[in-house]
Amino acid sequence: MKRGKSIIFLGIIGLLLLLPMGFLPFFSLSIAQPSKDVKTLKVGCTLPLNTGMGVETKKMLEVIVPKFNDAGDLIVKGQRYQIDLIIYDDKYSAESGRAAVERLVYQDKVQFMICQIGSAPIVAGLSTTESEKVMNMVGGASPKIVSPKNQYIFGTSTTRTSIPPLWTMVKKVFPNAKTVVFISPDDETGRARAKEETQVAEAFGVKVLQVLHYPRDTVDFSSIAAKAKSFNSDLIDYPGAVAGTQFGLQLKAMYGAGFRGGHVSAITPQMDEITAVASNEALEGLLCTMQGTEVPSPSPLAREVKQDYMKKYGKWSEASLTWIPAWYAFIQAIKKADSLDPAVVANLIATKGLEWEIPNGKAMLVKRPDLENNKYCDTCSEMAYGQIKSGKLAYVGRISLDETVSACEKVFGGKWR
Amino acid sequence: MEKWLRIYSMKLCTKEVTLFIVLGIIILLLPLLMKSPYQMHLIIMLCINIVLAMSFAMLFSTGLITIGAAAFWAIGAYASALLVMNLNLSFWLALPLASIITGVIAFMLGSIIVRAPGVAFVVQTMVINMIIVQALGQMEFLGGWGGILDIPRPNPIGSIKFVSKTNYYYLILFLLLLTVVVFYALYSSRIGRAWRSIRLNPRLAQTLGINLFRYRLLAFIVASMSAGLVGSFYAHYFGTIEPNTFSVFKSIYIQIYGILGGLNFYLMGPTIGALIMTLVPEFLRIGKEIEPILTGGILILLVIFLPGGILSLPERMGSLAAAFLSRIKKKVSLH
Amino acid sequence: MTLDLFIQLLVNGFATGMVYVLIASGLILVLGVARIFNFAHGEFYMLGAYTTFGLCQVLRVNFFISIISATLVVALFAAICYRLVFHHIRGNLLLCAAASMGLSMMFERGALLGFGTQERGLPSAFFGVVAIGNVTMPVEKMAVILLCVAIMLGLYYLLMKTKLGKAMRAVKLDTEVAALQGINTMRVYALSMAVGCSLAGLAGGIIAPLFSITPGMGHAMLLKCFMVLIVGGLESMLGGVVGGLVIGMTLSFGYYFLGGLSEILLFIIIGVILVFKPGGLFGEMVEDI
Repeated sequence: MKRGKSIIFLGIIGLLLLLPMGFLPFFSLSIAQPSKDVKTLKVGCTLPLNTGMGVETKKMLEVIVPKFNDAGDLIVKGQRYQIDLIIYDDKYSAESGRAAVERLVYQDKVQFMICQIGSAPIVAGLSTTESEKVMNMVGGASPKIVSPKNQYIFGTSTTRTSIPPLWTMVKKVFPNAKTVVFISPDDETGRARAKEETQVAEAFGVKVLQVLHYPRDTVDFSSIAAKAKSFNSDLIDYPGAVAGTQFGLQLKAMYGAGFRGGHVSAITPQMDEITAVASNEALEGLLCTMQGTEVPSPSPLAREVKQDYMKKYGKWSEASLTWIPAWYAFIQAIKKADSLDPAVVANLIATKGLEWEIPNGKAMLVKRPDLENNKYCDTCSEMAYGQIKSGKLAYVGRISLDETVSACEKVFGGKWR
Repeated sequence: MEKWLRIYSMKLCTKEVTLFIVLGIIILLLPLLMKSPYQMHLIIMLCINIVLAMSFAMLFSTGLITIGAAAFWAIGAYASALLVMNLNLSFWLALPLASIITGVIAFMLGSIIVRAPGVAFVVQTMVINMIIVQALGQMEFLGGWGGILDIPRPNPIGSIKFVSKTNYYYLILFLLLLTVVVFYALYSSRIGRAWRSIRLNPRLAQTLGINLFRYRLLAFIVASMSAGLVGSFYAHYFGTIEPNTFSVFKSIYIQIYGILGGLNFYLMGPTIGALIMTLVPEFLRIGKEIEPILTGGILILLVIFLPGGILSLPERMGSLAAAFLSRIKKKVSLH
Repeated sequence: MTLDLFIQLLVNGFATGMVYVLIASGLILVLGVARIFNFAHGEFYMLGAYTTFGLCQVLRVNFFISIISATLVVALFAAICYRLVFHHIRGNLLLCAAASMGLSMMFERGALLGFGTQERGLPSAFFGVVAIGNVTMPVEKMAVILLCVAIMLGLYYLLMKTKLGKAMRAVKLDTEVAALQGINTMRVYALSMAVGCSLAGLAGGIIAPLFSITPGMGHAMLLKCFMVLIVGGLESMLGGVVGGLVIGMTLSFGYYFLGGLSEILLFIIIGVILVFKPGGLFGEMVEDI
């Protein structure tokens, strides 16, 4: 036994000594394989691979990027390029996120980054990406991303701008609603979203009776539901909720507490997940956003993405498109600027704006004068909405890009175009 | 411990001196050898983790196990950020002040909890950590869950500006060495001897007239002050701080840094442990999603096969070598 | 506040509390007998939930049989973990804690990758509501309470009346003397780990229809578990029961009145308890670890 143990000692020591090989560029994590006559453009990405949405976004990118490379569509100044997407795990934390960003910027020497999700990793890596002039198209929800001080970072998910069009739709679907109660997680996103939605709801003439916060990991919503029901509002809204079974549990609890009014949500619920925990009656009537792939006549891009994804992975139900707009924005920005210098590209789109297409429809960069940022820094897109009827999400209507931007301008003020 | 004492007493042998000089040169010239700022970032984080691990080890040297080290790290970080941003103090003033504030808070909390023996103490440090994280997250004027952003860099001294990682590295190296020197002085003094006797046998120590409470409280305060010190550095290096960085899980990781290196080595042990746990996950980025599985696996293997920590290796190698040699002798003698 | 509401919150608190009691009892058992502070305890809870889901939804096995089978699977898995990992470092609390952290890292990521990112749910085995006077309660909640109480009674019987239970208590008191009495301490350690973790797995199965099944559910539960131990005392089963109920009630009433601040209330209560009884309500003041 002693000999065996000593062999294992040496084995462990040897393993530890071999590990620094991980620093070698050879072992960096690329997806696409370059071929002749084509240069490679390295693009970095950090994702919370300890969460479902991180893993799903990675899976989606692993479908979209190779297909894009095969199509050979990226030509800058006459030279064809392939994208080498390097994805690291940021574990949704500031420490890992910062280390991942530092590695991408200094070791892999990327000049562009896309699709970061969590506010903590994004903010932690911000000082590095800004000082090294790395153009960063992020997905995160924090308003700090669109602070006027930043020059190279652009928020490409519609989280911050999806509320005004949502409430436009609410007025159409629930015309008689006068009061609403918010139920929101007690974290940065939840609090920021609740504040924002309060402003929007009141701008649309619906009074917010109460904002209830729950600790992030809550699974038992019976007490909160009882409290929310006691206000007897016409609507319940769920700012900052995470799409998943937790959301379904909230709906179930509200139904159990006796609430029979309308439900509103800015996120698209994962139908498989919420029907697994809540009955059809509990879910009935929920008004929420709808993915561009599920509407009655999806765009060619939406159809293509869904097809490619299903070819590789089989089923579509787990897929998440929420954070993908960053990729499309990035490609469009490069094409528009016809340059691979991040300073040039960032400057161009910050001053002139950008329009591009995502599976949900058209998207464009907007200014945020209400946050004192007069550069193009945030994103609005077309929105589609659905209501749950008998356990299925049925299409209800669409708000065009123009209407979305106008609604945002009306609520938050200033000129966004 | 004995090894350190041997080295620092006047009976130095030339081989060991050369080793230390070479190591010292490498450490001082590290920025020149490490081309990539990413690697420098890792080294800087490593130094921070080493100090945190040493603070855990100091408490362990008195027989107390803490799962709350990250809480004091947080206090130092937030105190320093607030002092500089709201009171417009210079970083160089905020650094020691943050450490002192942490010490004061440690004194207040310690007076209550150090009395509780063993298990209760562990539990109370955990509770303190959880309360502090929750409080920092709830207080909006401290930034809430989003934390404090745009913490300014340390003020330049003369022409030394803190823009590149190099200057940060020398600063943290200085803080690390300062901590090592202070800790070493304490360990080799009467106080250190008292701590070790408390750890070995508290009742016996009491009969020798050692006031358990006072010595343990001292260890608690000094350990927390060192955590507060690097907390201040961390805030101004990282630029942003948020409550979840300082959670109980970080404290547990700090404990693991101590365990991996060897719990009987209060200075080298934490260094090695922090080295492994900081660098291995980074090396294993190759593994993408499965990295925590690999890190967890390595952790388990190390704990099982090296229960005394990495630094017990020389002794075990020694005894293994002796066993091996004796087996060979037996075989030879039979012929 | 109406009587209606009060009773509803009370029952809610009881149900949630009993689940915490179940899981915490497992942790206390493992801690007391095998001297392992199992940071991976939450992952066994998660494993129990996923196994129940797998058997019930995928293989279409009856719910109750699924739960029992899942418990046995988790028990077996825990025993294997003990033999592979903890057996070599038994007795040393710190090392076992570190090893269990390693296991926790592996299991959580393994579950995410192995079971997929989709969060799962199980349909309730009990439907409808029961009306007692003016109060309507979902049958589910009552069933959970009854099940948990039954299991705790079973655990009590195991520990107090059976030979194995007596062996466990003996080992907990003094390992060496127990060995001298002829008790196979290694087997007791392994069995206590199996029983303790299977309690968590069982709780996972019971909870599955009530809440959701996600790879991260273990982590969140673990923190609550620690709080139960803090309140009740690390070594005492009775403390676990009281602690779990205190926590469950505080959260149930706290969410209603204070919303997000209920966590702070919890900490304040824990803090107050600790000031007066540093070892927890039923904790013993143990000198060394």
